[in-house]
Amino acid sequence: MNLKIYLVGLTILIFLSLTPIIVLARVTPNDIYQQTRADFEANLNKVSDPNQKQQIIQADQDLNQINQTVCQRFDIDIAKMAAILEEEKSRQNITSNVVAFGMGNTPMDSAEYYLNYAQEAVAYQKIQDYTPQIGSGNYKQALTNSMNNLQSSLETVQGKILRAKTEVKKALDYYEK
Amino acid sequence: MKNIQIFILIGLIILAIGGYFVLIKDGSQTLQSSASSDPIVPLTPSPSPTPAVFKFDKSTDLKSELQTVNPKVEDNDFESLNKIISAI
Repeated sequence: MNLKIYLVGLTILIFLSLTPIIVLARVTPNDIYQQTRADFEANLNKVSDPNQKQQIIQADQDLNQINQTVCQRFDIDIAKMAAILEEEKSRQNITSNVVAFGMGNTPMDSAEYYLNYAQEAVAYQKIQDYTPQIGSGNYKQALTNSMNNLQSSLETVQGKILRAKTEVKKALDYYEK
Repeated sequence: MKNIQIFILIGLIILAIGGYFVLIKDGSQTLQSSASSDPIVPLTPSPSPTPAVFKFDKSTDLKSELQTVNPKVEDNDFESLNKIISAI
């Protein structure tokens, strides 16, 4: 009986000890980002050719700039579609604002859902990091990989916006027969 | 009484091991990552653009407006980057 009590107490103590450890040891996305940047700088210091070093720095800047520029263009498309939907809702006297998939069943609900989905995809894309992994010494390959990853991700977001456009068009076709 | 002492001892060992991993091991990692506290390559912050505002009224042809929505990833977006990569 005493042994059982001690075992239960021990289990509780282990649980209480491990929980803050797990919480404190949790690695956040910012930790990963900071480590990636620290690794990049450390590897950059190993580049002996100053011209090459400058080119890598510029490429790193460009990767981020391209991501932001394209996402800003996507933001304009999203804003336009949102305004179109708002106007259509006004014309049809629709006041509902359902965005959770499965909660509504009208073309307007579907359009709003996919537009919201696309908007979140753009917001998520803006904060992605494409720091090149130059640790291997093959700088060209590392930069090409980062560029390809960025292009692929942007095209995925483009697809989501086009899906939202399709749903908005369906809604317009439905309500403006 | 002896059992309670063993129980407390085991608990303290567990806390000590856990504390080592959290405080000391994580602390050394923090020291390592803060070695370069001034980043050589700070990313140039992009100024936040004014969000686009579109206002339509009853006279607007919404379908035509929708046709102008054309999200694209252009090849010339990557032109400068491609030039740099070619030059490396």
